[in-house]
Amino acid sequence: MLELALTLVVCLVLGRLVDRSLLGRPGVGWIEAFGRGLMLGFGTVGVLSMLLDMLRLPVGLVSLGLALGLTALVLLLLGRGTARQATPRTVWPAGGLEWTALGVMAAITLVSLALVVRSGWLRPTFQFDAVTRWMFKTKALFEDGTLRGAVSTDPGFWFTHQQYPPLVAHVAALPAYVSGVWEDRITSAIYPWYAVAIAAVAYGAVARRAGALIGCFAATWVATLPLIAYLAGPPPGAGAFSALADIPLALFVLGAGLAAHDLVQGERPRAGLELGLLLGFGALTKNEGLPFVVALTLALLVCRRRLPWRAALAPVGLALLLYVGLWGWLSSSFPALDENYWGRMHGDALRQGLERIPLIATAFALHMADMRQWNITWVAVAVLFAVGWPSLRRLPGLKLVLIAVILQLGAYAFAYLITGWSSPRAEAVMSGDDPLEVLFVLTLGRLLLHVAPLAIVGGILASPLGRPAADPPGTPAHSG
Amino acid sequence: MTRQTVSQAVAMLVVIWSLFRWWPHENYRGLPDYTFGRGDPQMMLSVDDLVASDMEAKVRVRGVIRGLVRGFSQLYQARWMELLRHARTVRMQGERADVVHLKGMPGNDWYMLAYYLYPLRCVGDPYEDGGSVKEPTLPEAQWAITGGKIPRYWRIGDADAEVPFPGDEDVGEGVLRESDLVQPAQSAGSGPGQGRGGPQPGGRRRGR
Repeated sequence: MLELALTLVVCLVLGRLVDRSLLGRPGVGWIEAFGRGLMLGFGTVGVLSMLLDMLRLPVGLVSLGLALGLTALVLLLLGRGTARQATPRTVWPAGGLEWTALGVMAAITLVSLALVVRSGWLRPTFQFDAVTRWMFKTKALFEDGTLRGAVSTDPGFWFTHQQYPPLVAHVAALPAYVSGVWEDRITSAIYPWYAVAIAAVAYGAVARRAGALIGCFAATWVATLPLIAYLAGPPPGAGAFSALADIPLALFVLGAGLAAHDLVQGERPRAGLELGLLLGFGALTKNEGLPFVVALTLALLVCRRRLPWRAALAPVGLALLLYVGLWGWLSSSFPALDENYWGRMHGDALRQGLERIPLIATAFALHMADMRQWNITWVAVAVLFAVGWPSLRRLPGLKLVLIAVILQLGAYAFAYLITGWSSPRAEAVMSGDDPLEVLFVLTLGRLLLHVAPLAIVGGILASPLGRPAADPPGTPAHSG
Repeated sequence: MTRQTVSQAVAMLVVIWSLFRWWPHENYRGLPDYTFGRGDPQMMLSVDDLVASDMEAKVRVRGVIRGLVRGFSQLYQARWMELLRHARTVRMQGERADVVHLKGMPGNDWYMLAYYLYPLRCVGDPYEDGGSVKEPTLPEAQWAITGGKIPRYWRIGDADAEVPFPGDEDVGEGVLRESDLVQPAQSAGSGPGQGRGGPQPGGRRRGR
């Protein structure tokens, strides 16, 4: 317990320092500050650990502790005298009915998150993907102090997906360094806290603009998504307690989408730097983080309005610098799997893929409408964007969010189009049909999860629910 | 109906639906009402309560959870627990540079055991790549674990362990019968093959 608590405190403190010193101390309430602290802290700890490994220094308690301490000191010095940006007044409910609704939703959210955290604490790692990818890399870091060793370079370890970016493995190794003993139950217990951060960030982003009641609704919605809260499968590996990188990626995608929104809307002075950092963290978390860099860049270029080219492209440059410098360059020498999508981008694969379009479109529609995986999430998001459509012209930031989500889903559809994936089990199950149908079951829910929190927050803010609520006369200002 | 009303109705539905999922389903495993996943949170809670009540028995907990993931398969649970026990013994008795030959198991089990055994290095092929319990032990291995009909392990050099053994038949996933199992309670702590007349290599210290 102590190892996990210490890790969380370290991440939170470091994240708060980044927020304060590098990002200009944005004016947010304490719940959002907590979520942002965790989000930025997880990313920063992971990046520092990867940097040590990149510099060929053995990663462990002493080296990482020194790096974290030094970074904290520098951030502390940099942040001296930084004035806090103005905090928008959070509008709180005026009537008893609204307070009741807020209380009910807050209770649902807290219960849901508490169960996820409890599950993560109780369960040892049990999901196949979590064990063979992220936890294997975490264990290699703990045992060897590096990810440049045999686990990454020996083709015999192909099943660990050697080229997959390992940021979450670096973060999860911290409790193990502290305890000095390998216990994957404690190590993997950090993963549910990414979901807690998602709920806190979603709450703050909405509450600042639309009031505490709607902010709480956003937090309730994301915290009760079955694939985050309680559904361990299918798809295998869902659930914030499953120690997989999909929910961490969803957190960074949400943060990056909101930073891009603020950049385009001109709401915060250092949103570009925050966007670059979060896109970089996302790309270092999972392969799917890299197409999101492209998706968000394209969306930025479409919606940038008066934003200069340089300001729109600088965050992408920072993200790619982080990715290539800390992992892309190093991992290019590691053995690649069959899932080499670049190698499939040729005429034949594309021609074959065109026949799959109806299959892919149907699968996306069916999965999004699957009540068991999503409740009514995607239908509700579509309705909220539809009713908010007229206002999107005035709100380029939300248009950007919508375009980025659609482009990211398009990238996933394209990956299904060209993939040559198969497996003996899929061939046995499908007996001649396209093994893609098995791949949908295994992956599509998790892919949709990457953009679900961002789509939910975007949908709420685009709809009339997201209009700044009038501050009733006599209501005291709070920051929450 | 105004846009505001539609938005509020949607918000209400989202919250109501999230509560609806907590409505227990009495016959969850029969899955007649699978579409809406009624009772899924209770399912998660019941697994966690099971784990919480037995947290000290790490191998059993891992076996139970993996079995639940694999479609509530008690057969898989018992076999996986047995394999994990062997992996734990080898991990504790083996040295960092040791190599373990994993034989006669499907790829998913092979790869997961490689995680539990790390930093000991695993060699051999899973079923999908032509592996078999009958393949000769690789010369670089100091240990072997088989996941055939009756999972067992031995240290290379225990000559008697290489004797053909009634449990050494290849079995794929899902073809085991309950009667094929060595019950974990019978074999725990004593080594595989207990009570079957086969070799009993488990529990010996390495004589290096």
